[in-house]
Amino acid sequence: MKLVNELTKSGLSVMTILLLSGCNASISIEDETDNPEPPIISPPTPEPVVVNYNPKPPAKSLNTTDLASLTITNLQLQDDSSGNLLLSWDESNAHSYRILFTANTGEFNTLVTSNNQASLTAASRLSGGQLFIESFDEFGNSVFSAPIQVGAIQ
Amino acid sequence: MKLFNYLVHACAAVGIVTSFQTLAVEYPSNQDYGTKGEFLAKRGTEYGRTAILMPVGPILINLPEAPGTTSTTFIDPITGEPLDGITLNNRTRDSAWDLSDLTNPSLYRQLTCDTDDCHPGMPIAAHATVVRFDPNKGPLLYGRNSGDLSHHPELAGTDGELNTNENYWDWGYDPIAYVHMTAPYYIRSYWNYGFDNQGQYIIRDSSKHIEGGPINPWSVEGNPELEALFGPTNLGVWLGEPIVHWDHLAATGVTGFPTWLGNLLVVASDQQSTGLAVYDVSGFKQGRLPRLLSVYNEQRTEPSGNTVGVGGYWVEAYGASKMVYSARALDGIDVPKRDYPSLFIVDFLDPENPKVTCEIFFDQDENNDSDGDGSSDPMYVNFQDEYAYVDHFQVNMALCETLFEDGQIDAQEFDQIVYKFDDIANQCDGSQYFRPIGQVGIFGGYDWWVTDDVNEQGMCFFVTSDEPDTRAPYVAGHRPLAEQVGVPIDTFIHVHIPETLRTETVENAVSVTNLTTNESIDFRYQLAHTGMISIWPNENLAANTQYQVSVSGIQDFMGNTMQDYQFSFTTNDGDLLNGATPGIPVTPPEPDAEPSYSGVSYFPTKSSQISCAQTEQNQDVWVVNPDNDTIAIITSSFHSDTLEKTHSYKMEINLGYETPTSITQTGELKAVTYQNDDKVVFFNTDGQPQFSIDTGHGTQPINLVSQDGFVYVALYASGEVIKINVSTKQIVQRLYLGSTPKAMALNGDRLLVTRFISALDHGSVYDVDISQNMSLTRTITVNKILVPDDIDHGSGVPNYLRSIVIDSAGEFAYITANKANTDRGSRAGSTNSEALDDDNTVRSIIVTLDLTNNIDSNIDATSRDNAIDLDNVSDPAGITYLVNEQINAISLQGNNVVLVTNAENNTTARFRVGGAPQEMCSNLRTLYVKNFTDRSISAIDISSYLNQGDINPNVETISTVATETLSAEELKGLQVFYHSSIPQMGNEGYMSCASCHDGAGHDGRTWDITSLGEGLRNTISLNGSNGTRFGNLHWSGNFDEVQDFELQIERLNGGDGLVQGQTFGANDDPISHVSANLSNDLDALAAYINGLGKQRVKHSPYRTYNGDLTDSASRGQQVFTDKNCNSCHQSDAFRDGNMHDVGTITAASGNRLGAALTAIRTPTLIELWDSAPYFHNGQANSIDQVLNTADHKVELTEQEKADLIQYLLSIDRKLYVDDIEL
Repeated sequence: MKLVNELTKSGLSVMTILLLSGCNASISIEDETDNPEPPIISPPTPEPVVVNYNPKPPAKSLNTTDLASLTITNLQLQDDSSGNLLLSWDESNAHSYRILFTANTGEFNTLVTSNNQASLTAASRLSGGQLFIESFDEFGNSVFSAPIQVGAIQ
Repeated sequence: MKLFNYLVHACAAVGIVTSFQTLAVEYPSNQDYGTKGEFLAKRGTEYGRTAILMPVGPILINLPEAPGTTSTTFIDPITGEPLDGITLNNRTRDSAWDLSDLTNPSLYRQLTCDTDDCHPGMPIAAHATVVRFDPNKGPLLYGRNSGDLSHHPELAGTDGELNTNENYWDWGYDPIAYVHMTAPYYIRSYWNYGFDNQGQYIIRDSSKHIEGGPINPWSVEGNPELEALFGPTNLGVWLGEPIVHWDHLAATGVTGFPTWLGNLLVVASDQQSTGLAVYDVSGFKQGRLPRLLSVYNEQRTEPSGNTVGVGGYWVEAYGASKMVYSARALDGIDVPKRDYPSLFIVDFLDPENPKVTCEIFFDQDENNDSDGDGSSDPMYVNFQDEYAYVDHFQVNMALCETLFEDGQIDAQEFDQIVYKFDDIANQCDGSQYFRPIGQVGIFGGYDWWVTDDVNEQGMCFFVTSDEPDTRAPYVAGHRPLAEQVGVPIDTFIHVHIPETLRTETVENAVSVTNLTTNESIDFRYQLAHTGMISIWPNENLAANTQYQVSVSGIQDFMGNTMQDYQFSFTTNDGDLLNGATPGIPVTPPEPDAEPSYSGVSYFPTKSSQISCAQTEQNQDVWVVNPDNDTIAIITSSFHSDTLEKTHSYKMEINLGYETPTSITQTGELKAVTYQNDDKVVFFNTDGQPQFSIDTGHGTQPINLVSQDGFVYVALYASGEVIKINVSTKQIVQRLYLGSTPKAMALNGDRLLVTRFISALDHGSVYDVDISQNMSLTRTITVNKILVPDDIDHGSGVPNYLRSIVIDSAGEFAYITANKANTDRGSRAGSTNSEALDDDNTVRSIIVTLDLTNNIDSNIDATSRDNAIDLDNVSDPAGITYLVNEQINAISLQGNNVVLVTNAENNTTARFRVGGAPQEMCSNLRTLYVKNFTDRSISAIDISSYLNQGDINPNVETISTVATETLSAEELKGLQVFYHSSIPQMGNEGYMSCASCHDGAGHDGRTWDITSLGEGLRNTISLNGSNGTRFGNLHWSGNFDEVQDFELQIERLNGGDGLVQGQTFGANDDPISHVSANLSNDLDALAAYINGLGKQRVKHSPYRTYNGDLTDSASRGQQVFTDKNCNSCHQSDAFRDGNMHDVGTITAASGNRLGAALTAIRTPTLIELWDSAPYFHNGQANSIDQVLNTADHKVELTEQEKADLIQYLLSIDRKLYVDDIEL
C-alpha cells in the first residue's frame, strides 16, 4: 500500500508504472513482506501546479445602509450679489454629496463634496437648468434630492 | 440514323401510352434535394418549348407552345433546322410526368398523338392555365387539346388515373383568355402581339354565346354594329354576350391584361409600359359602367437614365393587392425603349393610390453574370411564398419591398434579393415558365440557341433552397379585404396562396358563410396556375350582411398543411346601381380600438435596452444610449381621429454616470444599469432619479430584469448576479455564476443568464433558481456545432450569446449567438485544414434550450437539428416575441434588419431598421428596436402585420441622442465597424468588425489566419489602444495603419473592400502600402478605432469595493517592479511598442506578412482580468499559466506569485496613465 501511496503522490498511476517498466515488469501490491524491496523509482521533478483559470474576483460585501438616512432635508437656495447660487442643507449620514447641474443649453456639470453646502457659479447658470443633489453612503449607494429648477439669470 | 432513332422513340412512346402502370403515381418525398442552385435533371426536350407546367394531383402536366419550338425529331442533320413539311403542331406534344422521384422524373404518358392533326395544349394566352373544381368530376386541369384532366388514384393502372374530359362547357365557360384566370367573363387583353385598338372594352358573359352558337355563325362578321363594337380581333361569338362596354383606352391609355379581384378590375400593362388602371366593376350585370378609381403610370428612370413607364411583358397578381410585372429589355422600335430586363411590383391595396413597391433591374453590370447575363429575358412570373421566379432568377419580393422604401435597390441590396440559377450552363432555359415544387424548381424553356448543338427546351429541375420545404402554404392576401365594409353584393372573392398545391386538397377547402343565417352559400371556384383561388357566388350576396370566408385543409405539393384561415367582410345596402366603392378597411374609429392585437398575448421577461408599456399606448418609451451616457425618453401618442400612432423625442437624462446598458420597469420605477460606474439607478416615470445602488467597483452591471418587487442584475465583470429589494433599496443577495454573465430571461422562478464569451469548446447558460434565495441550479452547456462546413452551414462554438428569451410555458429558451469556427486553418494539428473564408469564419446561430431536460436541444452536435443557422447574415443581437408567442423577432446587428418568423403560417418577413439593431421591446401595436450606431429607435407598427400579414409595416425612426459625443467621422466609423455591408464587407453579409470585436472588445478566440500570411492569432480588445498610437497593429505588427484592414476585408471577409476596386494585390505589403485617404469609410473606421482610448478602458473587479488595490495587489505591484516586468510592459499603457521573442513562437505561430515570424509585439496589460486567453496563440488560459511559460517563467515564491497575479488582474483605467492627458 505504501507503494501505491507513493505513486499517487508522484502523480503517476500504476498503469503508467507498468508501461514504463516494460512488459516483463511485475509489481505486486498484495504482500509487502514476502517480496523483495520494491524497485526504487525516482519521481520526476514535480512540475509547478498551473492554474487553468484566473481566480474569481474577490467577493464584495452586501451593503445594508438604510438609504432613507441619506435623504437631503432643509435644502436652502440663496443668490449672492454676484449671481452665484448658494446651496445648503442639513447634515445627514451621507459619506459625500454630488451636485449635478444640467444647464438648459445641455451643458452638464458635477461637483463632489463632503460638505453640506455648495455653490453654482453665475457663469454656469446663465441659461438656467435643473439641479439635483445626490447623497452617498460609504459604498456608493445614493439617494437623489427632488429636482431643483434654476432660473436663467436675467 | 436520325430517322431510325425517331421510329424507335415513337414505338417507345406508344408503348408508354398502352402499357399501364399498376401503382398510383405518388407525391415526391419531402427530403433534402441538395444545395441551392444544384441541377438535378433535364426532361422533355423532345416535347417542345415548354409553356405551362401545372399538376393535377401528383401528375405534372407539361403543355408546350408550338411557335418557337425546335423539332428534335425531323431535323436536317447538316443545318440542325427542322426539315420542311414538319408542321409546328407536330413538333410539340402535351405530356404528363411522374414526379415521385424529383431527382429522376419520368414520363407518365404522352397526351397528344404524333400526327399533324393533334394540336398541342397551350391554353390561356399560352402561359397560363387553371384547375376548375367540378362537383362531380373533381379538379379539372384545363389542358384544352389534351382535355380537362382529372386525377383518380383509385384507377391506377388504367387510363382513368389521368382522365380526359373534353366537354369544357359542362362547367359553364371555356377558359381561353387571360381574364379567365380570375373571372368567368371575357375581357380582351391589349397585348402587343397583333395589337388591336379598335372597338370597345367589353365585359362579355363567357357562359352565353351570342345567338347562333359557337359554330354557326362562327363570328359576328357581317354585323356592322357588333364589328364596330368588338374590333377585328374579337369577333368570335364564343367569346360571350356583351354586357357593358366603354372606351377604356381613351379613358386610361393603359394597355395590357385584365385581372378581376373582388369587385375590382385591374388592367396591368404589357410591354407598352402604360402602367395600371383600377376599376370598380360592381353593378356591371345591371349595365352600370365601371368606375375608374385610378390610373397609375409614373415614369420610372432606369439606371441608364432612360425613362419609361411601368409595364412588363407579362404580369401576375400576388396577394390580391399587388401586380408583379416581368419586363423584357426592349429596343424601342415598336414599344417604349427599356434598357434592362426588370421586375416591378405595383401595390394597389388602396386602389385609388397604387404605387411601385419594388423595382429590380437585372444585368446592370455587364462584367458580372450574377446579376444577369445575355440570356436574361424575364417573360413570365410565378410564385412560391414571398419569392417570385422569373426567368432564371429567384426574387425575394418581401425583402425587395422592404429595401425599396428609399425608392431604389442598390447593388448590395440586389445581391440580397436576387439569386440567379445557372440554366444555360446546364443546357436549360428558364424564360418560359417556372413551377416551384417545394425545394425544387422546374424551369420550362425553349431552345435558346437554335443553331448550336444544344437544345435547351423542355424542363430542367433545379434545387431552389438549401433546406427541404417544411413551410406550410399560407394566404398572401385576398379580396374583399379582412373586415372590409360596404362590399358590393355582386363581388367575387379571391384568395391567393402562392404555392403549388395538391389540387385534391383545394376541393371543398373553401366555405363562405352568411353570419346572419349561419348558412353557407353556393359558388363555383377555380385555382389559377399561380395559386389564386377565384370564388364566384352563384347568386348575389345578401345586403348589409357579414360573411365569413374559411379556408382549411389545403396542402402544398410536398404535403405541408396550411393552417386554417378565416376572414370576414360586410356587404353594402345592395344598391348595385349607386353603391360607392368600398375603401381600405380601417379599424373602427374608437380610441379603445387599441390595442390592435386582440389574440392571446405574451410579453416575455427579459433584459433589454428599451422599456415600453405593454398595453397602454400613450406611455413613454425609455431607451439607453451607452456611448453617450444618457437615457432618452420617447413620447408615444395615439391619435383617436386618425388611429395613427406617432412618436417624438421628449428628453434625455444625463446623470454623469457611464454607459447605461439596460433598463426595466419595476413597479412605478424604471431601473437602469450603468456598466462602467457600477450603478443601478432607479427613476420615477417623470425621469427624475430617486436612488442608486452601487454594485461594487469594476463589477459592471450590464443587464437586469425585475419581478415581484425584486430586480436581478447580471454583473459582467465579477461574474455575479445580484438581487435588489426595491422597497428596502438594498442588495439582499450576491451569487457567483461564472465568467461574463450577460443576457437575462426570467420565467417564474427560473432565471437564465447567458455567458457572453464562451469557453473554448462550448457555450454556457447559467440556470438560477430564484424561488427563495438565489441558487445556481446548473450551468447548461451549449454544444459546439460539428456539422460539415459548406456555403450555407458550418461548425463552430456558439459565442457572444447576446440575447435570450423563454417561452410562456417555460419549456424552451432561444438565444442569439455567433458561431466561431476556430477549428479551421492549416496549422499543424488542425481538425479542419480548410482556410477560413467568408462563409465559414463567423456564422449566426439561434440556440434552442430544452428547459424540461435542461439541455441544448441540439442533442447531436453533428446534426442541424434545433440549432438554427441563419445564412447570409451576421451578428444576431436581440430576440423577443411579437406579442403573439408564435411570432418571434430577431434583430441582425450586422445587417440592419429585424427578421420576423411566424410559426403559425411558416412565414418570415424582414423589417428594415436603423444601424446595428440590438434589443427590442414589443407591445400590442408597436415593436421598438434599439439602433445602436444610428443613435435611434425604430418604432414598427406591427398591427397590420399581426392582423393582415402586411410585411411592409410603417416604420418610424426617432433619434435618441441630441448631442453626439463622437465626432461625425468617428460615428461614421462606428457604423462601418458594425455593418457587414454588401458587397464592401463581404459577398453575403456574414461578418462585420464587431463579429469578433463586439463593443470593440475581444471574443476570447484564437484564429488560424495562416492563409493571410500569419498564423494562430488571439483576438485582442481594441479598447484603450487608440489604434496605432502604440505602434503597429496585431501581434505581428503587420499593419501600420488601421486602414490596412482593407486587406482583411478583401481576403478574409470576401468583400470588395471599402476602397473602390481592388486595393491589395497578391504581393502588396500593408506596411509599405499607403491605405489612408483612399476611402472616406475606411478613414472613418480608422478615426473611430484610433479614438478608442483610456475612457474605453474598464475598471477591474479585482479591486476593493471602493476601487483601491487590495493588500495583495499592492504587494504584487512591488513584485512587478522588482522582477523588471516593466522593462517591456512599461508604465503608462503597460507596453513598449516593440517586438520581442519571449519564447512563445512555435510552428503554429506561422509567419508575419508571409515571411518568418521572429518576434511578437508587446501586448498591453490593461484589462488582463478580461482578456484571457493570453499570448499571441492563446496558449495560456490564466495569468498563472503565463508565469509558467517560456521567458515569462519567473522565480517567485508562491506568495509573490499570488500577489503579482492579483496586481496584474487589477490593472485597469486607474493605472492607465495617459501621457496624452499628462
